[in-house]
Amino acid sequence: MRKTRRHRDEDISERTRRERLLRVILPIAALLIGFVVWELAVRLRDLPPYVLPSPMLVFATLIGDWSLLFSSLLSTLNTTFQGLALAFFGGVGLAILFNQSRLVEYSLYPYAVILQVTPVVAIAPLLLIYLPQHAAVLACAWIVAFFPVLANTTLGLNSVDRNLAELFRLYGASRWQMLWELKLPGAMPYILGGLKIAGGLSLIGAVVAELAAGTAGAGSGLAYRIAESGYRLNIPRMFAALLLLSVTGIVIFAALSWVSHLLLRRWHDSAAEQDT
Amino acid sequence: MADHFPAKQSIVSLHGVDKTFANGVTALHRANFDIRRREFVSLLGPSGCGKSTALRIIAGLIEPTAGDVVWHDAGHGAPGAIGFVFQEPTLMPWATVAANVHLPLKLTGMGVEAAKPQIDEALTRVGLADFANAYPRELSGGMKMRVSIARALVTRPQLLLMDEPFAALDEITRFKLNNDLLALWHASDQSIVFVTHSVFESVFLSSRILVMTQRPGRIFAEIDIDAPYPRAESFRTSADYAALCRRVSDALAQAMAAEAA
Repeated sequence: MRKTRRHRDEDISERTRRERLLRVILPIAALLIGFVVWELAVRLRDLPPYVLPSPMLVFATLIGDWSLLFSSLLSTLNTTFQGLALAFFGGVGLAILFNQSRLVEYSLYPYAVILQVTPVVAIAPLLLIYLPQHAAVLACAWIVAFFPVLANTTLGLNSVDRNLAELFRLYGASRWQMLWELKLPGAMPYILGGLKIAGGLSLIGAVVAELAAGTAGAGSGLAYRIAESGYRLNIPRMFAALLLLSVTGIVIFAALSWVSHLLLRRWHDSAAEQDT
Repeated sequence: MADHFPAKQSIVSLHGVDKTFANGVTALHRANFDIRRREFVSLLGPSGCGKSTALRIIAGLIEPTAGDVVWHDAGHGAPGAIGFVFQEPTLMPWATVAANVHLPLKLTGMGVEAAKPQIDEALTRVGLADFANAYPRELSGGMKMRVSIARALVTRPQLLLMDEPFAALDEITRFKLNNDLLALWHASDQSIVFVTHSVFESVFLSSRILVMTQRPGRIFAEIDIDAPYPRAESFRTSADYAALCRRVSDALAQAMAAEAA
């Protein structure tokens, strides 16, 4: 028997709902299976915790050492967000400057690229010599995070609709109005895309710098905690700190994606609900 | 309507205007024509004949290589004295319909409160009063074009320049917008310069048609369309309309041949 239109629509929505559910359930199931295999491997082979801790032990350590790990997490988050803020304002500011003045762009852009392509792991020890530790760690987070913001914002500012720019000129728009009313709003999707990348990179920069500073012993961030636990053969705590770091990265990315979605959903196709 | 053909007073005259672009392409060659008060004049010609270039020169968006553009209007030069409608709606996707229409006034420093009556009036004139808070992506192609027209009207310009505004729309929408545009123009004291490559569209709308040759474009013929306004939908199927279309079509064919020779 032929189905009515409505029934078919319900079938389709039923199918997409099931699909969506599977996309959530399957990765979680895979993770749980992984944990079980890991746990079994450790128990059956009777591996000592300093070789490979079981997942249960890692979680136990995470809870047991929570106050220590949490204060380290706050320290790393502090660096990450300061670095991200500097990268955002520095990147957008520099991109605006480049957009307004060719001379500045030609003079500085190559060095922005050099800063980006030189591995931050190699720069960090030098920065630690010349800067106080907190400033050095912050500088590392900034160095890796600022380039995507700069590059994306530059691209966005240069991607202005030519007809719109002509319209602005026709109505006698000033340079400032061109920038504020046309170029910056038009560049928003690009800037937010850069910010999403920068969030993760800022965390990486902070971790790299903490590891480099780790031997100096004055650090308190999560990466320092990892290094320190390594020296003490406290492998479960290493795993716990690593877990916390990766959850932090995921949360930062999700939060920035959500901000981007909120800002763009009314007008940009990349974020708009697929209802039309 | 006699009052649409008064003393044929010119607003702007182009004298021997040439335009050669940096890449060596000559888009316009010795263009001589006037735009008169309260007329609806079409620039008709094949793609790439320099009609858009002529429009942009009048708008002051590009400078002619040679020749003069002479304004006879004391009010010229004030921001908003000219309205421009592009082939694409060219709206700011991040701004609401009202904010898009506000733009020309905003750029001259008029705040949203002060501009509100003018914005509302412009939106009402194009039939979009209910869509002030919508975003462009929520509108159809025809509605976006109406927003674009409202934005051009909001400064109450003396001269409205339109660059193939309806070329990308389907025929039903285009006919509707043709009718609405004529009504808008009829109710105002504006002049409209309308660039098109459609003989039928130009005859339906215009009081005068300037037929252009292929590149380098020059004015080949000037044809007065003396059918009375207001022109209803029935005009499209009248014998007068058919005869005028044939006349313009012949002129266009000759213009194409003249250049090939």
